[in-house]
Amino acid sequence: MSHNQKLNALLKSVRGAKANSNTQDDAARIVTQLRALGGPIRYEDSGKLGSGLFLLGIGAYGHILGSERGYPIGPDGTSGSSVLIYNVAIALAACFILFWFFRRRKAQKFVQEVYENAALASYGLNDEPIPKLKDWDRNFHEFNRGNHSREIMYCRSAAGRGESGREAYSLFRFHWVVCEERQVTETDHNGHSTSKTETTYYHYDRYGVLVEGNFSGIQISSDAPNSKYKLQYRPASVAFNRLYKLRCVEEMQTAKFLKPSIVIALEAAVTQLKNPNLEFGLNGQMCLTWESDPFNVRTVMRSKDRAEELAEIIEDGAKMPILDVALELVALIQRHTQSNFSALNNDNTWESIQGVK
Amino acid sequence: MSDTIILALIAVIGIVVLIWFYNQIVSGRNAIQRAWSDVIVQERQKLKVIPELERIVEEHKAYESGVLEKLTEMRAAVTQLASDTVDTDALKTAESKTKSALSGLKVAMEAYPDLKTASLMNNLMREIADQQDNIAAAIRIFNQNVELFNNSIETFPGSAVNKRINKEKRQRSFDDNEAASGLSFRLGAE
Repeated sequence: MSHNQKLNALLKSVRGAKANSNTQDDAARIVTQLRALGGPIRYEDSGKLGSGLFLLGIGAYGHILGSERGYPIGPDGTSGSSVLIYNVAIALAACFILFWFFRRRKAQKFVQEVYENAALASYGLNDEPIPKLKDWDRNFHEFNRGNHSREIMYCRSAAGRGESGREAYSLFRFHWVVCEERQVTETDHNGHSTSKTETTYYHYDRYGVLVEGNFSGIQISSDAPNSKYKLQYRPASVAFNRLYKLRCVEEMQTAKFLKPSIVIALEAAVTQLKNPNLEFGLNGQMCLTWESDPFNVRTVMRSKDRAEELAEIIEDGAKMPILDVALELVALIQRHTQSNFSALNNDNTWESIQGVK
Repeated sequence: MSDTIILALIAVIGIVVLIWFYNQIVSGRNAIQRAWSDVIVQERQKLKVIPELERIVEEHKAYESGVLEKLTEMRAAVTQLASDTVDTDALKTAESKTKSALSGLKVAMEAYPDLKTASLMNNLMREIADQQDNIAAAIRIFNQNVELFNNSIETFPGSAVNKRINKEKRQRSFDDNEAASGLSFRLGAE
């Protein structure tokens, strides 16, 4: 069995299994299959690429030479047949190159899919019905972006893990489009100028986690649309104030929230999450967003297609470093914003409980 | 444009730059003061916990271990900290007294099993750990501000502005590595 046939079989088997389930057992099976591949996750199509480039060279060289010195005359007494030969060479070249290109992308997509599925299983993330953006928009400024379209692309939730102290969270991808129109005036060689409107669409994404919070009406942003909260607040850290803008509904509440540990953690987050924003919505939920895709296999994989490396990544639990940093920040915020005595305060036993006797 | 206008323009730009650097140095100095006040505020949070600690230590007869004296020393050291004067030596004393009291508490908890299992004691220890995190973070913010301020008065053209107008002196940062290393929030750290 050739390497390409083995790779095709692997793709078929993994994609077939994916439709049915997405568990840790599947991940273990994929690891075995990846190791059995015995080569890179890449089709051996260098021959096709070489042929394509060779034919492209012939076709292009023929046309350049023909246009300069005249095309060779064929048996029919015209240059039509030689032009046709060059065109066929270029068309064949295009087929070979496109074939190589699409198969390369197919293999890359496969690497991404395998990693993403393993990460979903490892983090216990399950697809949720996509929430209405209107509901989120009402509580957070974060989603007030784009003048053309806005959409939540996915929303995946993970249950809390008692043993690690990690609470339940939802991971989402927010996509928005900015449409820019500009007038362009063109003048032809007769001196007539025509003006037309050119429209450009810019696509953007942000990723984020949504958890239950203990505050409301606080927006800390390194990259965000304008806030509607009127009050500005600046903590003591000059570095923090250079990185973030902070607006809030109530200064006292913000001062209580922004403990030095949280300030330092947010400063550190900038180096690991691209353009992070943290917001406590009016409904009390906390929303942390950033720019880099947590599911991108390139965040963990150094090579482009080494099967052994991918197998090791999956074996180690398909870690998502970006999400880990975000969840660590969330956990730290929750730890520092929850009272160590809340259980005692709730039933007024702060005074009465004095250890076990 | 005549030479006079160009010279006037250069002079205006020069004055604006001068004012900007002057203000930077002033706000840098204020930022240090505010960061220092934050350190003191965090240090004083300990005073809320100390009475509870003393009471619980007494109730569990753990006072023989000398922990009560250590708590008293810690309270005295924290009380002496002033928020209006940057005194890193006093802060160092308060931090070392805290460390001594905490290690005393740990020893007492080992020696007195009742104390170790007391839920209030555990909550208090968690609270102290959080407070120590916040103190360490506040110290780091203070040090960051000091560094930025020192840079602003020692690099050109800030150094020239400071020499002639502000006349501020280089500030000392808090160099107790042990206190600053008690940070548990290095995100993504191995």
